[in-house]
Amino acid sequence: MPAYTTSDTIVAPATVPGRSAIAMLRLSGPKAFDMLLDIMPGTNQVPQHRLNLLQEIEIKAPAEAGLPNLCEQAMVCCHHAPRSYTGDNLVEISMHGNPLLLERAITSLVQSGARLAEPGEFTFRAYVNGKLDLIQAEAVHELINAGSSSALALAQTALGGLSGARVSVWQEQLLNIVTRIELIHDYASDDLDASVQAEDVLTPAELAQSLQKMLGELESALEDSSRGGLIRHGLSLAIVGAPNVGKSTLFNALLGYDRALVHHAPGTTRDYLSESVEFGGLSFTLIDTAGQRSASDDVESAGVQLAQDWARSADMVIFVSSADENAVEPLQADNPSAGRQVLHVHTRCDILDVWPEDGNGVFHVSGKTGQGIEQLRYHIVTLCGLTEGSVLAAFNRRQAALIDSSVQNLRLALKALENGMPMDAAAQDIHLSRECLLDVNHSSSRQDVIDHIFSSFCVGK
Amino acid sequence: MERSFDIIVVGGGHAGCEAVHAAARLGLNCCLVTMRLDGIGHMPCNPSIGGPAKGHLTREIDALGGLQGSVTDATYVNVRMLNTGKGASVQALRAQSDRIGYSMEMRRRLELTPNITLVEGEVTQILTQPDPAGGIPAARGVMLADGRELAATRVVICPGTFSRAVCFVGDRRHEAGRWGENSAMALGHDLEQHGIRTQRLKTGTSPRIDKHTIDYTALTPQLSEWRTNAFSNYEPSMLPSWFLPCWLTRTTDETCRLILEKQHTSALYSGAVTGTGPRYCPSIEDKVVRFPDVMRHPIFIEPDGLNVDILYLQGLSTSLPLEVQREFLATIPGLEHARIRRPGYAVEYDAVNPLDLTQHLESRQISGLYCAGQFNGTSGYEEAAAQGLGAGANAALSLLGRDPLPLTRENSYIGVLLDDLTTRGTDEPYRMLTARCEHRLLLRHDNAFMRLGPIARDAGLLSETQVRELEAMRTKVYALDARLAEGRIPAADQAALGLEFSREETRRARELMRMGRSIDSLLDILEAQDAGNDASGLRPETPSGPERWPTAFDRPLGSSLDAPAVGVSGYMDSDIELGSVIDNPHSGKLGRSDDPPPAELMELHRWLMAREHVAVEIVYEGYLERARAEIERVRGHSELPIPAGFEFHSVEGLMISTRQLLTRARPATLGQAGRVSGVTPADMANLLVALRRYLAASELIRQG
Repeated sequence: MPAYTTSDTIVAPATVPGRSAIAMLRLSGPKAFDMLLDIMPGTNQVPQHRLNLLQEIEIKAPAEAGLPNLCEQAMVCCHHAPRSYTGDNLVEISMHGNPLLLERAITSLVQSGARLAEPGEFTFRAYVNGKLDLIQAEAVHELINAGSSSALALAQTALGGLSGARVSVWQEQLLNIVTRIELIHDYASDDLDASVQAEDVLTPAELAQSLQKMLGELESALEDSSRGGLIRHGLSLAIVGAPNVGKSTLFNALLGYDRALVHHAPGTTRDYLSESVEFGGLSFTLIDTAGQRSASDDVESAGVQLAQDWARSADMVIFVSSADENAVEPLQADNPSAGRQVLHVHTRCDILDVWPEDGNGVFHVSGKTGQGIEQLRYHIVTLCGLTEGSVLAAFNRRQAALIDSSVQNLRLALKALENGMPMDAAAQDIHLSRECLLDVNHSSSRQDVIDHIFSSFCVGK
Repeated sequence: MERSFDIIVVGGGHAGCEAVHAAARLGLNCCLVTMRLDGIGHMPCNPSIGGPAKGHLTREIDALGGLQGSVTDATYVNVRMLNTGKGASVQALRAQSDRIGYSMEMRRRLELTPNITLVEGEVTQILTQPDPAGGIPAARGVMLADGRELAATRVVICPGTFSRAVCFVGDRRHEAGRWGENSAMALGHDLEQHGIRTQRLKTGTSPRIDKHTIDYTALTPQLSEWRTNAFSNYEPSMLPSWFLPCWLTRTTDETCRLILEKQHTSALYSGAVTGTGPRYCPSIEDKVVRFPDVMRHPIFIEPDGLNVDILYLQGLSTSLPLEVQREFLATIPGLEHARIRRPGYAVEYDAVNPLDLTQHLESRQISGLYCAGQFNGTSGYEEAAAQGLGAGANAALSLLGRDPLPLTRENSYIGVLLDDLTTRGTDEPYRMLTARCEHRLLLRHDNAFMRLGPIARDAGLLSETQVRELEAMRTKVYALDARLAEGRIPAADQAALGLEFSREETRRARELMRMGRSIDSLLDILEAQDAGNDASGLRPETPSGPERWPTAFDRPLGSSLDAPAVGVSGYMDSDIELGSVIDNPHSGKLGRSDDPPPAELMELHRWLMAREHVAVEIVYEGYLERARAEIERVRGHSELPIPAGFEFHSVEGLMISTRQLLTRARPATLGQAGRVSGVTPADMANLLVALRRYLAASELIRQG
């Protein structure tokens, strides 16, 4: 784990390495403005907040190199704390996109006391300074790494605070429940009966009902999240089948370009091929495998073995057979693809007189003419339970694990109530459940409950 | 210096009494200075002790050898177990005491305690001496208004609401610590000179009325229970010679309208009072404003005592002018013709910032100076007494060179109270609530003696009789406890309590519990055995039963005790207790006296205490196991490394001084951080959260 502090000033390139029109570096921390002034000759005034200035900057040469200092025309923009991405003073310097120039600029800033930022450290500072909650900070990472338009949308939802808002709503619902329980606990029955409106006093049955409702919402969020995981990380799709049934043709057709060598000789594909492709807003890893047969040589039989491994580990399996012969099920004896989504695809349907109807998990395509490929893609996306835009807000693995603990504790509370345990027992479960939810975005604590009792109910004895 | 003591306690309220008593129990030469000796143990608000969380505190004070519980037991006129329909952890006693009787009994107890000198006088200065090593100054005694100096190296101040106090009724304002009593202006000033930070807080009381001027037919009575055990852990409670009822009435639309109309005349709304008042005990003018939909606010009419004609109107705290108080009382059913004997009033006073105190209530500005009670920003007799006991005992223990009392969030409400005050501070009068305790199920009314008795015994806070009773009750608990045979009770305890002699009894107890017999029949059997009777007729008919005792998690409650209703609250039912007491041959001697209770009653008391405790533990077993595991787990975090880059300055919820302490000490693990002097368990919880957050964030960076 990197050892980083938040009291020093960090610097890093903000654009990808390599030649380009413009390259940008970012400098953030308490000394950022001082360091900027240091390289801006003839000025001792920090530029106004978010004002883009065309400015000559002086890039000091490394002391030992004996090189002259460089002057560079750059666009400089200062973001004044706390109104910056990191919450600290932040400087963005855009210069000509020469990697050497960028490196010299960074080196000179490091020499004047800046530190090279760790990956993600600007976002970390934004989080530490309260500019982003944890869900948003995680979303920044996901946004940058999103591999498909759905994953992009998902990350943007989280970054926009929608996932966080969803958690906040649950937190508030649980806060209300807990408050009403603690109200009952901390005020004697007689005083309460006298003080509080009858409908405010929670019965165990009502409590169970509200918990059940919460449970439903959390569980459906978890379902969304497991699908959200597929969106984020993509699905693997293995194409398996007997030799020479057109697997590689299908592979190429799904990819949209000729990647695999196609030949009518059985056993052409010996090693597996894997390529990324996006359709339906999702990213897939397509895997073309060797045909299943008793292979004649070691290399091919190793390929066959690999194909079987893929059939076991891929998220989805396309079992291919040719329309011109009867489908054989080579994986039947010890079906390694059991338990996962299997699509049966008949290839070479263009040679049939009548194009057959799709159905019962069997699809018909022609790799040669491309007919049926679009329908197949569509079915693959539907089979994932994922049509574009169907998952609005999903939680990542850490978030989902906490929501899951929250669910487990709610179940315990319900069980306790069902078993006739008093509410103070169930309350412990509900407190724990709430704490798990609070951990999702690290919000505040138990004190809320006490404040809430006083602000919501007129009690006083 | 005219006289020298080991410990001086300033103030004779609920905190001061416990402080001086605890220190004297530890054998030190103690002095209690109070402005009025006949004000010792006075209850300026309603004469009521207990209620949820507060009653827990009182039970704990008693378990630790303190006075509040047994003085209440000796003087109550109405007592009830509250929340009996709810879980065991939120059930608590509440008693109405005879106000004058309570005060006299408290003073008598102090006078009977060896090592205590009572002094009447006003303390005007805390005397200190500079630290030769350049640290903070040390207390060396106090100076009284008449110029006398009293010397002691430990001074516990418990000035309650008296420090620079001002009372308000409407637009009338006068310097007074309580109605008709002088304010401690000089002391407040002196503390300021010492650089002790204070804040202004406010509290209020209700009007008191003449009991002959109300119409009882319009009121709902609340009668007392008859109980043989109340707040005392180590002895049964004697029945009082008189019970007095409380009464309930409510405000009307007209009351609320009138109060709203005259609201501007209240000291609270005219701007005269600036201090923060308690949110949980708002004045009636506050309630009317904040909850405009509620018209029928309840008013509990409580007896002030046996020999006075005064009733207290709980729920009507106010600082409206006297004539407005008269006017709105006339709109309340039953009180139409009530005559006010003393108006309700607000009092505003100095409170120390409790963040300037250590966990043991010692000042961070003057060593040897301890603060306790309402002065620390709390409210309530129970909260005050709890701190008094803690401060007095800790001052004495520090003088003796011993460790402070190990009161923690995990073992007591007092621990939670001390921890909350000294780590989180408070900006309003702090009231104890059960919801403040993370491990509420472990901190129950019924097990106070199990949790705190051994701590009090080891510290030397218990009398010989109390130690004997404690051991007798623990022996009975273990005898009833099915866990004994599972080896979950430490061997040292078994030996100390002579449990090897009751193994046979224990085995039978366990067998019977497995058969699903209720604790009651178990008790009968054990008693029959005690009496040498043949118990074979009681052998259970069906030998089959669950192998393991059911827990809340895996089995309906109905199978663990006879019926859920019995399981949860039935053991609190006082029928048996009552019957036994009435039939007791000694019932003629049940009036309160200093004579020890009859032996049979003592034995019954021990069984009842043990039975109640064991029954609750069984009902909650799964939950208690989880809570204990959680406490262990948090302890297990002690190996968690603190990375070099981790900044203590960024940890939320830590005091600045703690952040500095930690930054200086730079502990490498969470466990080491916990051992840095001045770091509290609550700090550790905050640190753990911050550390986890830091680790999660650096995971982000790693993924980059």
